[in-house]
Amino acid sequence: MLLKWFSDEEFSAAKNYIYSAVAWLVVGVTFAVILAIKFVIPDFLGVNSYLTFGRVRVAHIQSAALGFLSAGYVASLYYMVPRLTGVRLYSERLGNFLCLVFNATLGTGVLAVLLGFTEGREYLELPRLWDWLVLAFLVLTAFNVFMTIANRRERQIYVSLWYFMGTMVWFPLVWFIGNRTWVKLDGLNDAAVNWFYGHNHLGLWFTTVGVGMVYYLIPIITRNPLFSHKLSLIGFWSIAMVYAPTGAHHLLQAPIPEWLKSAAIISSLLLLIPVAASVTNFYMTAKGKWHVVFSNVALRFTMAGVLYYLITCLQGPFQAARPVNFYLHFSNWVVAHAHVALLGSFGFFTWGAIYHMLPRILKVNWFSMSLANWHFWLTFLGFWMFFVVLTISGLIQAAMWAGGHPWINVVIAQQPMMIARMLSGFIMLGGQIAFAYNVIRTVLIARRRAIELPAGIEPEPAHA
Amino acid sequence: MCALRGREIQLRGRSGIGERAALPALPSAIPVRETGRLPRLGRDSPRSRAPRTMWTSWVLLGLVLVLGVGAIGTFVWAVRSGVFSDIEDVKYRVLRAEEEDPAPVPSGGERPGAG
Repeated sequence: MLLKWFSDEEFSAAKNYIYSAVAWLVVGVTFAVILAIKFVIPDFLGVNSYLTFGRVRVAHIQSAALGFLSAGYVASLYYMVPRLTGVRLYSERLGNFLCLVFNATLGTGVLAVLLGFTEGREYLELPRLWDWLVLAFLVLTAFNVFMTIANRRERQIYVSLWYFMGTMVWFPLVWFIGNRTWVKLDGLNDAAVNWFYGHNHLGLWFTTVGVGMVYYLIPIITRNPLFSHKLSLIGFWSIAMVYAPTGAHHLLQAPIPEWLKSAAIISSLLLLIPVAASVTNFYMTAKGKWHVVFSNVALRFTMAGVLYYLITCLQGPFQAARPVNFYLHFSNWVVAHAHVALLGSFGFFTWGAIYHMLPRILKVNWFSMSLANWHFWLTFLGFWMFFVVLTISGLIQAAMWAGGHPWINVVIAQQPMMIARMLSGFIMLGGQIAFAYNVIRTVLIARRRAIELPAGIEPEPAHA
Repeated sequence: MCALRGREIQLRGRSGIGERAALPALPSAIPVRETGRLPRLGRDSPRSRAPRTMWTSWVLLGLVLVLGVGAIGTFVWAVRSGVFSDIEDVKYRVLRAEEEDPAPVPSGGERPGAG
């Protein structure tokens, strides 16, 4: 059993990360539903301190964002980089070992958070020891990726590889700075660095790997060449130039230097350039092949993710404008925005990638396409409900606060939206259970076939 | 002191909304009014306070510059090493990335998957 974690089999590391992503997805969404219930029934789960809102929320973020998304992203790196370079991953053993480290670190980290050990910073709640473990994990993963690219057969570098390489330079650095493992900060300084990290976690990890994944998936699935490689590179280099200072737009109401706020707002607006480049490329590449969306669930998830990505990126610069930020920043509008980015865009990209990669790694089709379709529609519609409800909720909150209404009246006005939010959570949880069941059955079928087929005999393809 | 007071007066005049609006912009004016002396380049000087309280902003600025210069350096390297020559060609070769693989076999589910 333990040897499997140190296997040298091709794509075994990607496979183990996919399994990890599915497990963390179920855990993360379960935490999310617990939180949604607590919004409606505050006494749900009693007064047990381990399951209070503050701790469960952190456990939800760590397991959903770090667990599901990041595991899915590393799986994509370990699958797509070898495909694009024409060589095997530099070290499958290292990848598998790091997968074990990833799960052990995150598992104990989430447990530590539930037990009350936390640094108390947004998105950086894991205690200090865990910060170092994640940093080591990131550096070694970057090493594995860069060594694979260094051994490539193609001299030309496809845009996905540019995005992956950029990420593996930027994100370990952002993590190192953001966790302040190197210095003790206080007050406003801590907040400034916190949001430098917070937004760059989104922009220089989830965005850059996610966009790279989409640049791989759409051409491969539709069999259409990318609309414009030059345009895609303009998108990459512009995101490299303008993303880093955006985080301070979370502190427009705080007494940080005005130039820092202005830099954040300007860079937030400039982000429209890479977004326009990417989204134009995605949609134009799919031109003439939209019918594939109906038959290919991987492409359906990916294109739905692109739609959410467009919404996210149009909202972002709009919210960074000072008057809008002042009005909306502390309302549920921002919660909706955060989820349309992480769950809507990057979650859908990850599901699309998993639906594409897993059958090719296991060499067997999905157990049930009906379950896959249920997964898509429950997640897609459940998320729309969640997003619309929280956006309306945020607008009501903002209007009532601006109107000077008593706080308790604002809470009472939120009740119908919180009930709808809980229902949307149950709908999405149902989708994830269908997905996890489909994955488990597919894996079991692949294992049975591997036992039945003598070594060296490839299974016959079902269709061209 | 004159310059300081002049700036205070000038700001009040420019804002046009009275003393209340100008005061937050001039924290250095407070010790002048309270003590009747010029702020020294010591503990009460805003110039000396700034590096102590907001130095992380400079760290962030430095980091942004490092990342930006690094990106420009990589871009220049890529151009000079020919990575961007014939820039559109690579997108056609990517389509062959999975061609050598056998297609996944049916799993025994409802119909051949489109995963």
